[in-house]
Amino acid sequence: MSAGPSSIQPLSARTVSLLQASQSLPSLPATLSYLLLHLLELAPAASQLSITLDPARWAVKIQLDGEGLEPAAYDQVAACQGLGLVGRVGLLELEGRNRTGAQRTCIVKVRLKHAQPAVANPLTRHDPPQGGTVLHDSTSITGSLRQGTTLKLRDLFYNVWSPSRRPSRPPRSRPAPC
Amino acid sequence: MLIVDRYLEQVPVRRRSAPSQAALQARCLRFVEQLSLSHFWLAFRVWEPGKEDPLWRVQAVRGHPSPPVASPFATEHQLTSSDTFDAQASSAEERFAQLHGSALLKTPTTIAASSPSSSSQTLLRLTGFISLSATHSRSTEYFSLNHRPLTSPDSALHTLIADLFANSAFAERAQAETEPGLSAASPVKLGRGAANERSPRKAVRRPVYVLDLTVPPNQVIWEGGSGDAVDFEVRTTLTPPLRERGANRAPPLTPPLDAGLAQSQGLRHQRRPRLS
Repeated sequence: MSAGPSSIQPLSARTVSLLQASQSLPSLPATLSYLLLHLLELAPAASQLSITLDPARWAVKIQLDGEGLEPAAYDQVAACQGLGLVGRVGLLELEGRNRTGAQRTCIVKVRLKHAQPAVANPLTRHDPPQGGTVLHDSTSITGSLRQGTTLKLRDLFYNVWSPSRRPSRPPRSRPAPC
Repeated sequence: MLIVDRYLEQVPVRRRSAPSQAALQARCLRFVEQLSLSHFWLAFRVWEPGKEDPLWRVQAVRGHPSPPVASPFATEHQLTSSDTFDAQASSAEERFAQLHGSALLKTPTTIAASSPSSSSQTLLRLTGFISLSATHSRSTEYFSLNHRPLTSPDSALHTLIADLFANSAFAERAQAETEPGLSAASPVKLGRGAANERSPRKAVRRPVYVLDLTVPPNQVIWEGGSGDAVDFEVRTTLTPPLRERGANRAPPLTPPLDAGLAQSQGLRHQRRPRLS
């Protein structure tokens, strides 16, 4: 039996990916725990963990010292797997210096953004995300980064707006009583 | 083009469900605190933007070996005996004292238990401590699985320990320490749902403990990444064969705790379904 025009169609891969991410990351604390657990798994030699919380901007910055992440970790971020799952619902930037061997140093920067929608969403407070998935991905021998890993997440849930996660705008001020 | 504006504006319950910034920050700090109790070798610092001094910090426990024995996301791992067995328990006490002070560490009992198998591998291991200083709050109940904190205080494992604590010698001694003037005519029950003639809430004592259960990671199913959803089942090859299974029928953890766990034939923990 051929599928008619009113038959149920499967969701697009991008929508399924977004639903999976939003199901696993329902809130800012859950996202923070997800990032911390994955980072500590990827960098077991770290000795100091520094976290900068900015709930007003829905942003988190995590800094880990130690030997840094392996290049495979950045590949996971670029492929939206593992640690990069957060990149589906936020803007994720991962950078660091990794010493692999005696004299080799890798510097990789990855920033994920979803494709720009055809129509800008008037409900979002921030500017619509610009196009592209991996904005920057590079590896170099020299750089100014110190050894370790820095992860920056901002604009969490910019594309998963819901009242329980993130209000789209600050509540309107009520008129003063007469 | 379809634009929906002021969605759910007339439904205040939905709109109020969005947590405030202070609530978000408190929940994040709570998780970092729980994480620090299972990662003794790490120093933690939490900052606020634009502030010079850290919002929250804790130093690394000196002398604790790193890295962890079993990583949460490892797929294949064999738990083996190591010299860090007792060190983890003492480090848990030290980290707890950094967070809450030493007042609640009154006569803590170090727990270092494992379930041996026919080979040299260990299938189940429990480390940490439980204190005799019972409290009214649930904020001092820390349970982690493979160094990964179970964030929900209503998890089946938290409930299991609270029930076992209420019926153990720990609770009796805690009652004697905290309520020395009580007589048999006016007993105070300890544990969940206890009540007496006074306020039922005041009669409830909560245990103070930091426990880390280590199981083979390949037997653990993590749901998502929020840290509050986990489903695992551990089956040992000890005899007699497993007869009953389930959180409510788990082996008692009454003192000595190590003996109780060593006799365990199986332990299963499943996330409670969410109501919403």
